[in-house]
Amino acid sequence: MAATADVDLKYQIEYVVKKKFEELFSEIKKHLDPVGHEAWMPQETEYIKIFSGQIVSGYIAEPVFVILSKAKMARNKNRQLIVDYLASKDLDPRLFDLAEKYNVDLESL
Amino acid sequence: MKDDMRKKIIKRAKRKARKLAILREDPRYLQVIGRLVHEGLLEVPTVKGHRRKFLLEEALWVGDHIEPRVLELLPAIALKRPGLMLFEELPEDLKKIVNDLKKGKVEQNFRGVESSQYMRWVPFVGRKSGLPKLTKTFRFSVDDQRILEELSEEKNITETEAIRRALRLMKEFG
Repeated sequence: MAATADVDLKYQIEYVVKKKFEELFSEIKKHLDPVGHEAWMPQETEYIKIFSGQIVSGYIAEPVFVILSKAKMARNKNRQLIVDYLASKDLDPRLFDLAEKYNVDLESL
Repeated sequence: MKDDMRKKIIKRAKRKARKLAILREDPRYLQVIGRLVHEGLLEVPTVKGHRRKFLLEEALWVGDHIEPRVLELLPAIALKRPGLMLFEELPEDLKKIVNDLKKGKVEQNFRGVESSQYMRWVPFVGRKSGLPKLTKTFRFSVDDQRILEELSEEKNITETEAIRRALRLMKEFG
C-alpha cells in the first residue's frame, strides 16, 4: 500500500500549535495537510491512543473507519487501497455495515 | 449486508488484489515509486527507495494503472523538480498546468485529479517552499510607507515580510 506523507488533523488548532506540529512532523518527513480538518469521518469512528502527554494526547482512527472515509470521499484515488484492504486478513467486517449505512458502494470497485 | 454479498465482494477484491500485486512488480512501478519514496513524497513499505530518474511516460502509466497518487504529485514535480524525470517535452495538459501554476492560477483537472489535490503538493516538492511568488504593485500613501518602514526596521524584517505578516494576522483575527 502506498501513502502520501501528509497527516490529517481532525480539529483546527491554534496557529502556534500548528507551527510546532509542522516542525515535529517535518523531522520525520511528514507534513500537515492544510485541509486535513475537512476530512469526513463517520460518527462511529473509534480512535486508538498513540501518545499521552501532559498537555497533548494523540489518537489515530482505526483503519476500518479510515477506509470507509476514503471509499466515500475519494473513491477513485483510493480504489487500490480499498481493494487491498478488502482482500487482506486485516479486513474488519464492520466495514460492510458501515458501507451500507453511509451509502458506500463496495460492489463496483 | 447479506453474507453472500460480502463473500462476493471479498472474492472479487482478492482477484483484483492479485492482479495489482503482479502490476506492482512491474519495473516501471519500481522505478517511479522507488524514486518518489527516496524523495520522501510517498511511503511504500514494500518498495526500496533509489536515486535513479524515471521516464515521465512511466510515471503516467503507473498513475493510470496502479497508483493514482503519482498523478497527484506529477504537476508539482514538473514545476519544481523536473530533473527527477526524463522527458523530451511535457504533454500539453501538463505543460499548461505548469504554466498556470507559475502564474498562480490553476483551474483544470489533471487526468482525473482535481487542481486542489495536486496544488497542495507544490510546497512539499523541491527545496524552495510554496508556490511561485507573484509580483503585485500597490500605491501607498506617505503615511502607509512610513508605517511599513518603521515596522520593517523595528522587527528587522523586509517590507514584504511585514506585509505578509499583516495579511496573516488579518486573516486570523479579522
